[in-house]
Formats: sequence, structure tokens, C-alpha cells
Amino acid sequence: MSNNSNWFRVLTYVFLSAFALFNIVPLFYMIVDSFKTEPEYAASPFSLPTKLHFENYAKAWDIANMDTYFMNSLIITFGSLIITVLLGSLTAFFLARFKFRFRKSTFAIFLLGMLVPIHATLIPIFLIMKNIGLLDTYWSLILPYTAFHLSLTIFILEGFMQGLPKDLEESGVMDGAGVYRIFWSIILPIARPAMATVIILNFIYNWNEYLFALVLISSEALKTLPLGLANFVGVETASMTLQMSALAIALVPIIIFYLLLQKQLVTGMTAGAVKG
Amino acid sequence: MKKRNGIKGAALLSVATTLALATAACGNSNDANNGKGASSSDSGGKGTVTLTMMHPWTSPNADNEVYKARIAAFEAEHPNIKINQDGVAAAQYKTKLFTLAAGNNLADIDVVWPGADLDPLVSGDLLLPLNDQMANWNELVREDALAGFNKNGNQYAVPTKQNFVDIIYYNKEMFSKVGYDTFPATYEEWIDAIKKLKAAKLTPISLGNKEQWPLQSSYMSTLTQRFAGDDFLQNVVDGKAKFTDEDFVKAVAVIDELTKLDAFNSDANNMDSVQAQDYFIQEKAAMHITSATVNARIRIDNPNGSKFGIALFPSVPGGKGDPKKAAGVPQFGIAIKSGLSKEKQDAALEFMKYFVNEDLYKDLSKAGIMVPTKTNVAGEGEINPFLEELMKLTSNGSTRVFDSVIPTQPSKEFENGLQALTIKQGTPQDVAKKTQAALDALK
Amino acid sequence: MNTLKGTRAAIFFGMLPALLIYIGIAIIPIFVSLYYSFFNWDGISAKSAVGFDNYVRIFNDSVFWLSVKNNIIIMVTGLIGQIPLGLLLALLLNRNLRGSTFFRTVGFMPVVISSVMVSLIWGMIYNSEYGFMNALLGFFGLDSWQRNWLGDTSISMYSVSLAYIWQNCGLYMVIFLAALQNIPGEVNEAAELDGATGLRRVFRITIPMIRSTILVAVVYSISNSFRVFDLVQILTGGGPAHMTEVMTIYMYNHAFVSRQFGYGSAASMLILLFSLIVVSLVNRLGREKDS
Repeated sequence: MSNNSNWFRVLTYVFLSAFALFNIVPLFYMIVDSFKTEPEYAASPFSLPTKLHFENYAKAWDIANMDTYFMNSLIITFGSLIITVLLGSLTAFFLARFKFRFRKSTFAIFLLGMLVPIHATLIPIFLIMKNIGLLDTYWSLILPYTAFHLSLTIFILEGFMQGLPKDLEESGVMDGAGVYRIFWSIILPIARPAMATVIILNFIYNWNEYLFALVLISSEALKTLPLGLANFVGVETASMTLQMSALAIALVPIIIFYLLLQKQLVTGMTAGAVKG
Repeated sequence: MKKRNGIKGAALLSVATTLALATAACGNSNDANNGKGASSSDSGGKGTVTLTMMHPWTSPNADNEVYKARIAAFEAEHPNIKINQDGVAAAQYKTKLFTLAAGNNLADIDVVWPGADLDPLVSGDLLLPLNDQMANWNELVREDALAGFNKNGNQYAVPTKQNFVDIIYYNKEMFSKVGYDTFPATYEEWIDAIKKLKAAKLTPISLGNKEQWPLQSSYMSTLTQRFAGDDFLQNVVDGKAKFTDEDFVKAVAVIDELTKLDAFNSDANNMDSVQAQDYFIQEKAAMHITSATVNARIRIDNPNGSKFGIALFPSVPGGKGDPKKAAGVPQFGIAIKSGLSKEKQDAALEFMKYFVNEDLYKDLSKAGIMVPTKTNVAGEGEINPFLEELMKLTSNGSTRVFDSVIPTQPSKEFENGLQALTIKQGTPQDVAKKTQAALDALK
Repeated sequence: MNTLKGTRAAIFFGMLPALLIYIGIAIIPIFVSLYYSFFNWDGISAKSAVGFDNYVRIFNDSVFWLSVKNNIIIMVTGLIGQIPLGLLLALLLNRNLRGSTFFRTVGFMPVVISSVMVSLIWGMIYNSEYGFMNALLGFFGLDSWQRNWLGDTSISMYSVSLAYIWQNCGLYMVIFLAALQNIPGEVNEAAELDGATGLRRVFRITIPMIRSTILVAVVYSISNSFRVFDLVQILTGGGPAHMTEVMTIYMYNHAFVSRQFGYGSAASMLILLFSLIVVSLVNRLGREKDS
């Protein structure tokens, strides 16, 4: 028995380590190449740098205009993330835990958003933003990001909340708590892992979004990081090493954010939350 | 009770949402003031005109630095005109330009491409004809360079850069190893060299055709001219010739022949143009055919640059085109949006006259960039010898680039056909037929 | 839960803001696109109405059907690859394992790193001359298996799929990890008392308990596979000669490269239609079993 589980443990580690290695290699090369000069990279992309060119990072920071773009990305990412998750979790709660007319059709409409090929909406959204006078403002990105990620947010949370035990709210109902109260103090705490999931997904999608930012924002003062990251590539030329430096910088917030949230992802909330 | 709680909850939620929105809005207005302040005319003092300008000069290139410095110099000398730049990465520049055009929302000053890419902007009346202003440039800029931005007798833009798309960069050592101390002058010799390179276990040509334009632009522009003559492409557009004509099919067949000789690196369709440059720089291939811009990366900025020589496509048997000509395209035409207020239009013209003048061309030349001027504007010894060599090589006249003459859809069809040939699908005749069909479908 | 008095208003006002933003910004553009799809329009010049002509032309275009086929390949391989792999990772990492934080983090890395890096790395793996894949096969003496992974048109789409699975399985790992937290400890304890161990416990207890999340993951995976764009665009550009082109690339090339915006809009409506059919089928199957 214990022999068996030891074997299982070893196998698990072998598998996970191989998997991890596979996932770390790209990061490793990104960091390695970010310290090289361009000719050095062109001559041998996969060798170690002869000298660490830290100044690449300063240059990359400037070229990608990170002074401005970084803050804009934070504002837009968090602005839409907060709205999406708040509105989305509430909607998911109603869709998952209540029976009412149009429930199915409302859900279906939200589901549709997950299937829309994003490029098709580019010109229509551009024209809408122009007509309501929001073109070239933070709102021109926050609103589409919210609208498109509401679908996924609702979809994941609804699925999760469906899976919760049916009698969960009963204690709340008996206490005479209203629906918002039940949502806030019973469902939300218990849904923490799923909330963490959608927050992470929203963060990544917003943080990396390129196409809408490209078209809807024209002022340098309002542009986001992905636009800056594209600054390194011309038609026939590219500064790969500087781009790697910039990519590495842009990755830091995502990793920090993920590390902060992944704890929530796996906290054994169930027992405690149900009882309390 | 329950209801009240519900409402209380809703109130709480809406407060939270409002807070979140307000945070975003706050940041929004703050930053907007920093960056866009000048868009309201009062913040920069009376009489300040603010112009927007969209350009693809974001990557850290020698020429991009020149452009940006020039814009800064203009602003310093014209305190009453402010240029709000919108730098858009080159690969997506056209997508943005096209979307803005669809909303009739172009920037006041735009960088545009010649030929087929200019057509929709002209047909939508989105650009200001510059005919009255051309006295500023007619003496300075070559006619053939201006022609790409001329539609129906109206001049819509003036180019800042001259590019040649078909420069053959070659590894001198590898060629001398197979007995060629100079670059082959005829097609037969060239093919012979390729066979010998192949026999010596060297990759003859490094190609990065993932994005598909290299074969169309860098190869077929010149091959078409060599086989079918200078005016062939224009004749096809005018309906006086067809892609299915024998000369053109022969030109396409070169790609087929090269494929059958295994002349390209085996990953040609999965590498982009920059990766193929690197492959060549790493001395894994004997030749790389691409634009003059890359001269900087391969030779000027490269410590080992002297290993590499430059040449043009050799003459072909029975060819109708002059083998000394290179396929040239004027780039980065500066254009002004139509329908601007008088004040803005004057300011935009003021900018254009300042921006596109002899000094710009001089600075570009010194930075190793080719310019579309009638004479060499830079003084002797002021330019890099590698650039001088390139200028000499391309000084014998130019022929036009395939997709600057042929509309986009047939060009794309052609690119796909060429790519199919490189994986041994289809025949040169098929490719020619399909391209002609795509062109005919437009009429 | 039974509908309490007054909750109906709470539900309505609770969902209203989400619905407003969503319909205004996400749904209306779909209808605008639908409208454009009946025109011949380059985005700039005047539109001319062509009825169903765009759709007819798409249906007659073999390249479109090729892209549909490629989407199906991505969809099926994605389902077969991502979901079991994501579930396996989640099950392994849900236990008290030393280093599980580390593995959870690196497992998620492919999702967050830029597509530029992903394509660079897979370009390196698949390179026919000095790529890892061929080197590995050579090392094991399997020279005859060596291929031009992205260039050989009979397998290039599967090579793309593999990169796609690698890039996304971390996503499903995270979703499943969250769902596994939902299984109360008592259930596992009870199962242990019953003598259910290892695999049997996974199949008999764990998987049924996260059913609804598995369905979510399946639908999500399908919807993602119909919308895949960046990875393919940057890895192969849809080539060689359309062989790895997916519907979104087909749509993008027509709408934004060749500037046939009406035609591109029609293509995007078909993408939406096809994915809607598949998703609603799956959803129906999944939910039916539920009740």
C-alpha cells in the first residue's frame, strides 16, 4: 500500500517536473535573450549572453512608453475587472440560484458573447464609440472589455454556483436576509475559488488585449502596454532583444497577481464557510 | 424586511460600482489633461493649433529616430503648432488606418502607402490633393517616386523614403567556395551556383515566407520585369496583357524551379522575414533576398558586415527587362486629411513643407537610409560605404513592386499560389490563372 | 430557491447594469455585422446591397471549407487534449504536495506569456533542421519519424493543435482546481471508508461532483477553439497555402487585408452560427443528463 503510493508520488513528480520544465523554457529564453545585444541575438538566439546588457531594460521601458502605458493598463485592467466581476457574479448568482421567467433566454444571450469572433465587432464598436463620443477615452476600452468578458465571467460562475448544494441559502432565508445579503455573505465567500478564477482570467485578457486598444485609442497619454510592446517590430526589421526585455517587464504584474490569487484558488473554504 | 434588505444590497452594490467607475473616470480625466490638453485650444495659449499625426515609426530604427527628431524640431520652431503623435506599430498600421478611414476619422496628418493601398483612401475623398503645393517638391523628389502617390492627376502624398525590395545579399565566402568570386551575371550561372552550393551541403537561399509577401514582393516584382518587361504589370491592370501570358508564367516558374532544386531552407514557410535574415547572418545560407532597409541589419550594424555582398537578380534568357534595374517603391508618403478647417490645413501644410524637405533627406541618408531624391543630397564621405554601394547598385532605374501596381485581392491570391508552389502544390500555370481570375473578379 | 416576494425586482435591477453594457457593446455590434454582411463594402466607399451573395461566395470557396475543417481539428484535439490534461493537473495539484504552488504557477505560465514567445518557442521545437522535436526523435533512433512539423501539410494542423493545447491547458487546470474546492472533505472521507481509492474515487465521486464545471470547461474549450486567432496567425500565418488557416484568419484576411468588409462580416456570422450550433448541442446533451 505505502509502496504503491510512493511509486505514485514519484510518478507524479516526474510528470509535473517534465511539465514544468516544458513551461519554463520559454521564460528562460525570454530572460536570457533580453540581456543580449541585437547582433548577438541574430548570430545565436539560443546561446547565453556574453555580457548582461541591463541597459536593454531601460531602453525597452522607454521605447514601449511604459512611463505612461503601464499606469493606463493598470487603470483599464482593474476598472473593467472590477465592473465585470461585480456585475457578472451578481448576474451569475441570479441565473444559477433562482427560477424566473426569461432565465434561460438571459443565460443564452450571455453565452452568445463567448462565441462572437472579436474581429467582426471591431468596426461596429469603433463606430458606436465614435457616435457616443467615447472614442479615445478609457471608457472606449473599459466598456468593451467589460461587455465581452461578462459572458465568460457569468458562464464560469454560473456553472460553479449551480454545483453548490441546493440548501445553501436556507439558513440565510431563515434569518430573514434579503437576496443581496445572501449573495454577499453566503454565496460570495463560498465562491471564492471560482471568483479567483474569473478574476485571473479577466486580468489576463484585459492586460493583454491588443486589437481594441489599437483602434480605439489614439492619444499617447491613454495607450496601454500591449501597444507599447508592439513598438519593437517594424515591417522588415525588429529589435527582438529589447522586445524580450519589455515582455519580461510586462509579465511581472501578471505573475504577482496570479501568485496573490492562486491561494484563493485552492483555499479549502467549503467546510468553514458553510458552517459559519 | 426582505425587500428592504434587497434594496440596501442593491444600493451597496451600486455604490461600489460607482466607486470603481469613478476611479477609472478620474484617472481618465487626469491623464487626458496631461496628454490631450492641447486638443482644447485654450490650454496652449491663444492661436495654438493642434494637429494629430498617425505614423508607423515606433520601432527603434535609424530612420524612425530621424523622423521623430524632425517632428520635435518642427514643434520647437513653431510654438503655435502642436503635433499630437499616434505611433502605431508597423504590422498593424494598415488595420488601424483602414478602420479609422471607415469611420471617417483619420488623423490630420497620415503616413500612407502608394499604389493599391492608396486607392480606397482616394476614392473615399479622405485625402487633400496637394497639387498647388507641389512646387515645393517637384525639383527635389524623383518623378517615379511621386507617381505612386498620384491618382487621376492629383498628388496626394510625398514620400520620405525610397526602398528597393529585391536586393540579393550574399555570403562572399560561400560563393567563392563554389567558384564564384563575383556574383553570377546570368540566370544560368546563378542556377549553376545554386546547384554547386547545394552539392557543397550549403543552403543556397534563406527565405522567410510565413507572412507571404517576400516571394510576391522581393522575388516576383523583379522576375516579372526581367522576363516580361517594365510595363507588364501596368498592362495587366489596364487589360492589355494577362498573367497567363507566357513571359509571366516563365517568371513564376522560377519559384517552382528553385523549389525543385531545394534552394530554400526547409522551414521557409514557418519563418518570418526577420528570422530568415538571422538565418542568413548566422551563415546558414548563401543568399537572402529582401529589401534595402535590411542593409543596416545585415551589413552596417553587423560587426561581420563585410562578409556579405549585395547584388541584383541576374539577366534571364530572352528576357524583356533591363537586368540593371531594381524594384523600387517609395515609402512613407506624408498626406493630409481632407476637409480640415482652414487654420488646421494651413498648419498641416506648414508642417509638411518643414518635415519633407532636403534636410530630412540629408539626415536619412546619413543614417544609412535611401531617399527618393533626384540627386544625392548628402555630401561626399558623409554616408556609410555600405549604403553608398547600395545606392550605386540601385542607381540604374527602377521597376515597380508587384503589389504597388496589382490590387490587394489578386496580390493575396498570388502570394498563396506562390506559397503553394514552395510546397510542391500546383503549377506556375495554375498560379497565373488564379491570379488573373482574382483580378478579373474585381471588374 | 423559491421566488420570494420582492426578489423579482431585486433580480431585475441586479442584472440590469450587466445586461445594458452587454447588449449595448457586445450584442448590437453583432447585428451591425449581420447587416454589413449583406453588402459589398470596402469600409470606405459607398455600400452596395448584394443580398446573400457574400454567403453564396463563401459557401463556394474551398478555402473556407478548409478553414472549417481546421477549426474542427482544433476543436476536437483541444477537447481531447486540454480537458483531461487540465483535470489531471488539477487533481494532482489539489493535494498537499510539496511544491504545488510552484507547479500551479508554472502550469499557468503558457496562458500568460505573450504569443510572440509562444510562437518563437514552438518554431524552435518544430524547426526541421535544428528543432527539439526532430533532435529528440533522432536521439531515440526514430529518424524515420522526423518531419517538417509545420511545413508538411499532412500534419501541420496537428502541430498547431499541440501548441494550442500546451498554451491553454493551464486555463482548465485553474478552472478545475477551483471546482475541486467545492467537494466537501466529508465526501472524500466517506469514500475512503467505502474503500474507494485512487482512480475509482476520481471517476465515481470526484468527476460526478464537478460535472457542471466540466460542462463549463467543455463549452469554453469549444468556444475558444472557434475563436483561435493569435497563435495560428503568429505560428504559421495560416500557411503554407491556406493549409493551417482557421475561420477567424479567413475572416480577418478578407475583412482587413483585402478590405472586403461585407464579405468578412458574412464569414464572421458563419463562425458565430457554427459555434452556436456545436455549443447548444453540447449544452443540451450535458444539461439533459443533469436533470
